[in-house]
Amino acid sequence: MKQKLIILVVALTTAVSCATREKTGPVDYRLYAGGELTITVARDGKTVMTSTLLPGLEIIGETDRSNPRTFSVTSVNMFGNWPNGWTHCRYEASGTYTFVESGNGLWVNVTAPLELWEIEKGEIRYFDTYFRGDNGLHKARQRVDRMKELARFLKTDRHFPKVSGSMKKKTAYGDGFINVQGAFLFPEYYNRKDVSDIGCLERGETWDSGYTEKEFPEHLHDLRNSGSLWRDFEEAPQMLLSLYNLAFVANEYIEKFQLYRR
Amino acid sequence: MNIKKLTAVIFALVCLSVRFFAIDLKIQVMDRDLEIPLEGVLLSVTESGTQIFTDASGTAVMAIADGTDRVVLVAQLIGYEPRKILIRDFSKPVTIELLMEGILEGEELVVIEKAIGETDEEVGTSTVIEKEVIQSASKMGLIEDVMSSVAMLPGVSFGGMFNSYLSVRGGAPGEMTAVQDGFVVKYPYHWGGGFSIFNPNMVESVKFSPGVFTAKHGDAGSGLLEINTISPQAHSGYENLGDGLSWSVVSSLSTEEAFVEMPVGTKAGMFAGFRLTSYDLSFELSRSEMEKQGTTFSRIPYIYDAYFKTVYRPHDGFEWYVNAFAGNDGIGIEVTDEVLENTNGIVNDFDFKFYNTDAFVNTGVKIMAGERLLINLLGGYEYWLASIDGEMREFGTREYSDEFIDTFGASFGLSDGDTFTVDMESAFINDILNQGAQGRFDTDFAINDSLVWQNGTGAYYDLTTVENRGNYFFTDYSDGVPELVKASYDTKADETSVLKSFAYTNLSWKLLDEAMEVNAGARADHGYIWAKDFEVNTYPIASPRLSLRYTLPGEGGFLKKQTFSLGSGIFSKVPFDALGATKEMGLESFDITMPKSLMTVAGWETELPSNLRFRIEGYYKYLYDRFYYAARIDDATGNQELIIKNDGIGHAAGFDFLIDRKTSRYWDGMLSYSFIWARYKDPLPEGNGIITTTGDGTGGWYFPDFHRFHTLNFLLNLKPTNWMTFTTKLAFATGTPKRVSGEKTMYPAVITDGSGTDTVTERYTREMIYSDSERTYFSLPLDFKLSFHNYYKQSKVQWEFYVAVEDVLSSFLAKMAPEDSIQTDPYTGEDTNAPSADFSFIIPSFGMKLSY
Repeated sequence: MKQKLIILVVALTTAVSCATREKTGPVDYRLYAGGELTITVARDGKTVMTSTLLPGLEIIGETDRSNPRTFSVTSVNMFGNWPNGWTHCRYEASGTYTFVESGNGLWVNVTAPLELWEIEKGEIRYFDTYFRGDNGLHKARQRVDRMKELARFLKTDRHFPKVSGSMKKKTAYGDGFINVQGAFLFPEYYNRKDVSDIGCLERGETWDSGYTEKEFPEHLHDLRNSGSLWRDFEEAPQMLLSLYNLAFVANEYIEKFQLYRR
Repeated sequence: MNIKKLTAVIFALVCLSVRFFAIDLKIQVMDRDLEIPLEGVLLSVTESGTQIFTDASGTAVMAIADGTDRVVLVAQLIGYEPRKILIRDFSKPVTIELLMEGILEGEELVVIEKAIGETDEEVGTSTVIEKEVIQSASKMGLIEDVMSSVAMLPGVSFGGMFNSYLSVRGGAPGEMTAVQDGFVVKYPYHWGGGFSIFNPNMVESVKFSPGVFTAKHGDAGSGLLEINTISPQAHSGYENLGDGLSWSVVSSLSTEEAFVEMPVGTKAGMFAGFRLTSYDLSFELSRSEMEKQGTTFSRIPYIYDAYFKTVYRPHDGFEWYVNAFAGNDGIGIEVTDEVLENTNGIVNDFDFKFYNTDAFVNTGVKIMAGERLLINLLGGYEYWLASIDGEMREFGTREYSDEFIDTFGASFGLSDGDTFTVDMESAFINDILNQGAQGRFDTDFAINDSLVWQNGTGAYYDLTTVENRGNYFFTDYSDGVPELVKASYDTKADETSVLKSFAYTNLSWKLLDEAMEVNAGARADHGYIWAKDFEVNTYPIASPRLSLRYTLPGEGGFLKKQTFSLGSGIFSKVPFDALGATKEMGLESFDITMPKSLMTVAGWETELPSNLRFRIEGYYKYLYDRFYYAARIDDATGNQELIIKNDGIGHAAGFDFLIDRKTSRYWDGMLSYSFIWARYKDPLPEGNGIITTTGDGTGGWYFPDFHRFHTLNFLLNLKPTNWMTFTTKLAFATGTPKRVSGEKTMYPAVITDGSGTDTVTERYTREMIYSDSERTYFSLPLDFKLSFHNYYKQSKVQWEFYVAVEDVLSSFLAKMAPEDSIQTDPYTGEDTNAPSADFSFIIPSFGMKLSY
């Protein structure tokens, strides 16, 4: 019995410590904006920017001590999980933000917009199969590429709102991502009536090709009909939402609110 | 000097000063996939506008002004994705890797890496159990055991709730051979065969071959079980210790387990784990009830296992691995009858202890020598020590019954109210110490794209000491008046060596655009037994094997991808008991041979809509040169002399089918049914002091005691959400042969105690007669399991929890089953009726797992 408790305690402790968040040194200060954005600056200058609009995503870089302070982005960490696995990747990134003192707070100027460049690390766990190393990197990059293209298609081609406040809940930005964008992308799963064939034995594995051809551009046809897009949506929904919101949060939202130290 | 010249001089000086006060940053640009340098890559610095191009070696040198603390460099080349990097350290050369511009790919994510020949399923030969089926069917109950999944496969006869010795298509349970990663495991069991050592948490896949498997595998009379354990992966991109780490911790009512897998550098990986099972908690909960029944554990049942595996792959064409396992299990039970307050009872005390240790280590290499030749080398060592000892005591005082006095009282001067006292102790010890070594060398040579020629050779060597000694009481009728005589036996196989060697060749040929596959091969096996004072040689056995598979072209309509199979072959296995051969057994060279079976299988498989698969196979098996045992009783001493015969024969025939649905989103499962007809014959009849333990005693045909006509298994996983699974597992099996009770006989038996005093005891016996038609009651274990799993928020740590209940119907069936088995008390003659069927009890279990 005693051994049982020891093993459980060790496991839980290890579990808690195995989070996916970027580890920083002692924190120098934190900046908060709009209730949805947090910038943590460590004493050595390492900086992590997170947002409730970017679940599982961290924008990482360094802030210097010049005046005005400049936050230079070096990488973006992304993570999404579902009951049977997770996707984790780190992208090389660039972007520059300048913190301008004003009154008792700071404003952020976007000096160079955030851009994602090359994937540095990618891993996927699918049930008990792990995709790591070059294989994981390749698959993770493909997943992110599909998600980025899906996000672009929804916002640019289909004129969906440029930000979604939450996966499921209604927020100031509108209804949840699942109910709006998800319902458009996968009506077979969300039971919308304007699909030509809902008689699938298993939703999620048979997709209405007529709907695909009608609503999606050609380069997404195979991806939707084969179920790849659904798999991305089901297996890393937070990552898709973050990529959808990233441009808005990192390049527009951040300039809208004054940051306060706490 | 005019202004222009002065300007030029100043300009040159400035350039030179920049040159003198600049750092040269060497940059090389490579194609990431092809690993070749890229010429003509444009390298530009955004802030300064500097631009340079790489040369033919992919190299460029950029001057960085002194005092620059960072540079954002952009690399661009047509056809490649542009890359932007931030450089701070200018003292070291920079290598930039560019990737071809990608298209959106929807590559199927689930890729189970297969090693050819190890995990691929073959119609008519083998079935591969998916990892998900192992998860749902094996992970429940007292012990999580892979055999729970194997027992559900077609061709496997139901063995009962706590039995991992499986009978396959009419063959005896010991004829199946288990192989772990190519290493033959001699004794892969815990608790005397109750469970196997194969832990679902360390297994990657299971391949079960009840059919005509190729000549590559031998020393398997009925069925081959191949367990492939998790193969730890190395991977590039390894930066720090802990990269690529995965671990899991499992806790259930009686078991704690932990496993870890991690890469070691970029070329090796490691997997390790352990399992600790102990019923201390369960025993504490039920101690008072058990003690009321007079039962206690002198050693609480336990299992301790440890696993280790490491794989080194310096490049694609070479792999070196080391596998190790160590296991220890044991159980000790004491049963003490209540000592009755009156003197009208004989009671039994029983103390039984069992300890078992099994450990093995093996290593091997797989080498791709060129594009067409694969070489496999394997060598390993196994250590097995099992010890069973038991002590029984019958003691007490009882009054003679009226009937006994009436019948025998006058002959022995007994009268009403007389009593008799017995105090008989017996004991036994059975110790086995086995050390084995094995090695094999295999080659696969691809003659062309459709023809592979496989060859191999190897040997298994066992050094065994078996000690069996004990004493027992038997009734001796030789002198007219029956006597309860204490006899003893003491046999020792002292360092008996068994050497089994083999060689094989096999051609695997794909024809007709791979629609047809032919496997034709032959294998030679040889067995040689020796010890200090005897040796027994045997003739080599030739085992030809042929199998054909043909897949109809085209997709078909309702029935898709139909495959027909036909195969035939000879299979043999040196009996396990050969390890304990002794000179006294009277075995002579070339007088004995390995038991064999000739099997023919025909099958058909097709895919149905909704991802269903249907497979049916029919077979006939002729078993010959079977070993069986009898005993010759020495009238004078009562000692038993073991007789070993090698002329047993048998027929087995039947068919089995499987309908399954591979793991999918909402539901999956399987339904299997096996019909088995098996008849054996041990030609040696009873009589002239010879007793047999199998068959009908006449030397005629009989159904073996493990035989069941029908076995049906059903497994269904329902997944209403992707974080919950409800599993239903049902088995139905008809009964095994049941001996019928004959006449009950009351008789006097004289026992002489240590002081020479004779006591007449009142004894009863009932003859048990073999019957071709009588069967035990059917078995119907029904299990349920509800499991939940999910990940902690923003975490790679998954939690899983399950609750399960096994054999839900046992109590109900036990009440419903006819009490068709009679047990007669040897001292009172009292008959106790009980169900003949082997019902267990409802077994609740739960488990929790954390994994990363």
